[in-house]
Amino acid sequence: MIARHPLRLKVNGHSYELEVEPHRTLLDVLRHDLALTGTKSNCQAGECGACTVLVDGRAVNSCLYLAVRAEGAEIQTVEGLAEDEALQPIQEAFVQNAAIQCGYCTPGFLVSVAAVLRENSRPSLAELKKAVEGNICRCTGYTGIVQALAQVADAAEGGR
Amino acid sequence: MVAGLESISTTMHQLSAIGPFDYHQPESLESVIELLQEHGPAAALLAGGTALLIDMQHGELAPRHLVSLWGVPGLDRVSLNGELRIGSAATLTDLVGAIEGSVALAGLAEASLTLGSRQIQNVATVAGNICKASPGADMVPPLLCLDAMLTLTGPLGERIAPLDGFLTGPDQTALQPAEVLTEIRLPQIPDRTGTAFQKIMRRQAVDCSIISVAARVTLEDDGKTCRQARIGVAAAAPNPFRAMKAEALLKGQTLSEDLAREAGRVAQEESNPIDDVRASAEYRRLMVEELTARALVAAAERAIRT
Repeated sequence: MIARHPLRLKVNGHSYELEVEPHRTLLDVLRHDLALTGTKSNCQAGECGACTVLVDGRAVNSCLYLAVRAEGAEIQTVEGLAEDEALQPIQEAFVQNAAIQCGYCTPGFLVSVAAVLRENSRPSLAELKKAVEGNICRCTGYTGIVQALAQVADAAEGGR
Repeated sequence: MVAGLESISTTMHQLSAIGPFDYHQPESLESVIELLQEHGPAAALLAGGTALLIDMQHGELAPRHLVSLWGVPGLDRVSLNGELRIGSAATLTDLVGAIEGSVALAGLAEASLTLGSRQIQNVATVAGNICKASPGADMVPPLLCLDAMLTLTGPLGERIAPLDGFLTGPDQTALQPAEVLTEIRLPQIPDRTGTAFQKIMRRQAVDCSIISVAARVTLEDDGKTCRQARIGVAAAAPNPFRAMKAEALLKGQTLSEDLAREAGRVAQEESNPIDDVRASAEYRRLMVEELTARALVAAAERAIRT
């Protein structure tokens, strides 16, 4: 019998108190215990980025992050990006550029870009591309994705 | 049950196939060591976990106890005060933040920023990359070039060992039972020093190295004669190594492109690569020469600029 560990999390601004077995990943807890299924499960090896979430502002692969490690942390998932109904600029840019084929990789891309925008409101296209190195679109729909990134970078440039 | 659903639930089960294990998050180094002593080979030490959890998912490791370093205060610290000190729970991102702008440490930053993705860099630790002892451990060549020393803490107390010699084979280190790598220390870097890191992968990002090479060049007061050179090579032998014959070639010389190329040829002779899924041994040898030459030239250019 494996002991459960208490886990207090703040996810997208909401506080949760859970008990989890230590082998469960943050991905698993977000999807199954909190029903936040925007974060996707795919490679389970930190290679595809579909499960990317922010832990205390830093992008991590939630498939390689034990839930117990997130004790006391602030988590942001794709569901927490838009404020009320207002999409963030990167979300708008994905919509406007149709940067989506099957859509499975989209939450991970959005969260990776959001991580950059938290620290740097005017990133270059190169910085945005670097930030999504760890996100794979298996449909190979990169043209639209890069267009969306360029739109965010151009908007930042225009604001300079 | 519908057949399709059954297969889905089987898949779900396999996806979270790590464990079960007991999880320990002690709040002192002494307790970490006691737990490692108590559970012996049944225990695994958890730092970033990006390698350990994958090995567990693949069934290559099945520890009954995970002993985490996350609760030990101060281990995630990186400080640059003359010497660079990297705590064993510090991530690659922590390291990059602490050495940003240092020309002498640029090679170390380059290695950190090309190891895995941003998501991995935010979690993986420098110490974990060393202790995993992979032949292609990218953090090791630049740390070898900077004469890194390791603080190892175990049941008998603390000892200091050079990184050079710490790795004793693929997946093997000189760590004693219940001993923990607690800090990586880089001695004060001399003036007029430049470092650089070069690597090639099958694609341009987030892949294991086919070859990686780091170089350090420290110049004499005249600003052109090479006082000290270091070359570290990964993925070309059972562990990353220093190409010492190539280094010796450079001492007292003015570093030219021709001399860098010659050093690359010697480094190639010192390497002992294998054929694998990423590249042939022959290709690796060629790349040891090429990347050594490039890294030396880049390091020398930086040394001149400082």
